[in-house]
Amino acid sequence: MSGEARVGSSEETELRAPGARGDDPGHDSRPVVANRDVLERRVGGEVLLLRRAGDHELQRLAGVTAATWLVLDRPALVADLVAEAVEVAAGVADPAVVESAVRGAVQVLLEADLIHRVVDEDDEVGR
Amino acid sequence: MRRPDPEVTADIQARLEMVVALSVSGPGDAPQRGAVDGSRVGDKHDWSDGGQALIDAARTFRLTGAMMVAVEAGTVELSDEQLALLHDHHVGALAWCLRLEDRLCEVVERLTSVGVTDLRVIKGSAIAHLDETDPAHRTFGDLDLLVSGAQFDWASAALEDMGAHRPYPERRPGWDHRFAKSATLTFDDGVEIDLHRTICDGVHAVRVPLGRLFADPEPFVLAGQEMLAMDHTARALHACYHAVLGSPTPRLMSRRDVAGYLARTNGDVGPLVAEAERWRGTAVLHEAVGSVLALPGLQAAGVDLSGWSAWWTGTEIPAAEQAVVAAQRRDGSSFGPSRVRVAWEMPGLANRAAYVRGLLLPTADHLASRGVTRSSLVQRVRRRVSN
Repeated sequence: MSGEARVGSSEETELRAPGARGDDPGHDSRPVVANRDVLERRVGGEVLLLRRAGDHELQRLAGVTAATWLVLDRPALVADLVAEAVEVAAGVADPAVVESAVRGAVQVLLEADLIHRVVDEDDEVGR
Repeated sequence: MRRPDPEVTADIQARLEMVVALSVSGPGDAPQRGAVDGSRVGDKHDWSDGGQALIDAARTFRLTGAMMVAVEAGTVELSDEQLALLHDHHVGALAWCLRLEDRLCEVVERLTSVGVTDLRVIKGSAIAHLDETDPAHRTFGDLDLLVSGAQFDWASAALEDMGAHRPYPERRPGWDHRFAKSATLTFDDGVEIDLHRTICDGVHAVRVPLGRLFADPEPFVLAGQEMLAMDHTARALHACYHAVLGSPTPRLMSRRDVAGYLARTNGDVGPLVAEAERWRGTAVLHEAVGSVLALPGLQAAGVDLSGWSAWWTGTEIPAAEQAVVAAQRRDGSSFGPSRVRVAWEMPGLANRAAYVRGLLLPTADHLASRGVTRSSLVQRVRRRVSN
């Protein structure tokens, strides 16, 4: 079908941060940054992504995962992301919940190969 | 395959024209990732009575992004059901754009690897990334690439090697790289690429200085890969040519593209007018500007086109030039009477002879692919001449 792609088919993956999932990969000393080979569109509070490498799967981010993706066009330490999110959510959400959500989002993005840990200076440009 | 246009009532047409006006970004809007400044808009429009038909029409005319802009700026109010439908339609359109850009990256890589150096991304993706406040505001249904005539055949062959196929063979050997506006190549998954040699059909195709289209390219980045587009002035004029010469009446999305370019000149009409004169396309620019000025709601939307309005009013287009534009719009990409004028204006006797030969004597393969026989073609020409 030309002119439109159906989203919601089996080839699309909706990624949401598992709120209770705060597993720390244990590499907090290295910043994370968005992979460059990703095509992106934003709509409302969502982000549509298509990673050119691998299976060219269309992915749809929402909520904390989308927000985390959007700030990772520049390298950032997970601890800094958490601190910023906790500040933004001050008085609205429990800091522990916010931290868990942000760390979960980073983990989801890493597993989907949408972001990576910076290994050297050449790598720090982001998308 | 293009979806047939649904029946659009006068009311829906008027509302979509309003959406075009309300979603035009001006010189004060952020160049990328920003929003159109809703505060400059006075009136608010409650269209929650418009039902699904209004939203479906926005999808058909590729105006879901424009409608989202108007909704997000608070200038258009929709019902919850309409909003959900608009969101779904827009996500679908954007997902298709991502698929297209994925293919665009592959194609540009391939063309570059086989030595196609005169290559520009034109229309949809280039406009979205270079001329919108957010690329999501401008959706598109296919890919458009411009290559030089000298590299046209390589590019076409490389795309066929990638699995794309042409519905029609070349009109005559050598026709594409010398005279064609474009050739369409389609992949099995529905991705369509219009491979352009130039930006329009007809007399203006002869007049547009092709080398100018490749001068001072403007880059943009897709998934870490650099793409080259035409420069801003050439993009703006191309939008005018596409709006005016690409269809009998300018499509709403094309008018929105033109409106955006005009608004962003911030009243300085000089550079675009001068370039149009060099292209001998003042009549085209005049017609395009007129189609934008006729949009209802531009003034209410705070889009300042007073400089263009003064130019339009004060510029007289000779009747002969108006006739050239009218004939081209009537004939479109078919080979009608306007092609006689093309041959007349074409430089060089050899070129003229080859052009006329191609017009009159397409190959049997080409005719067969279009379901036409030589005798039916002769009859058609006779009818047109006698008319």
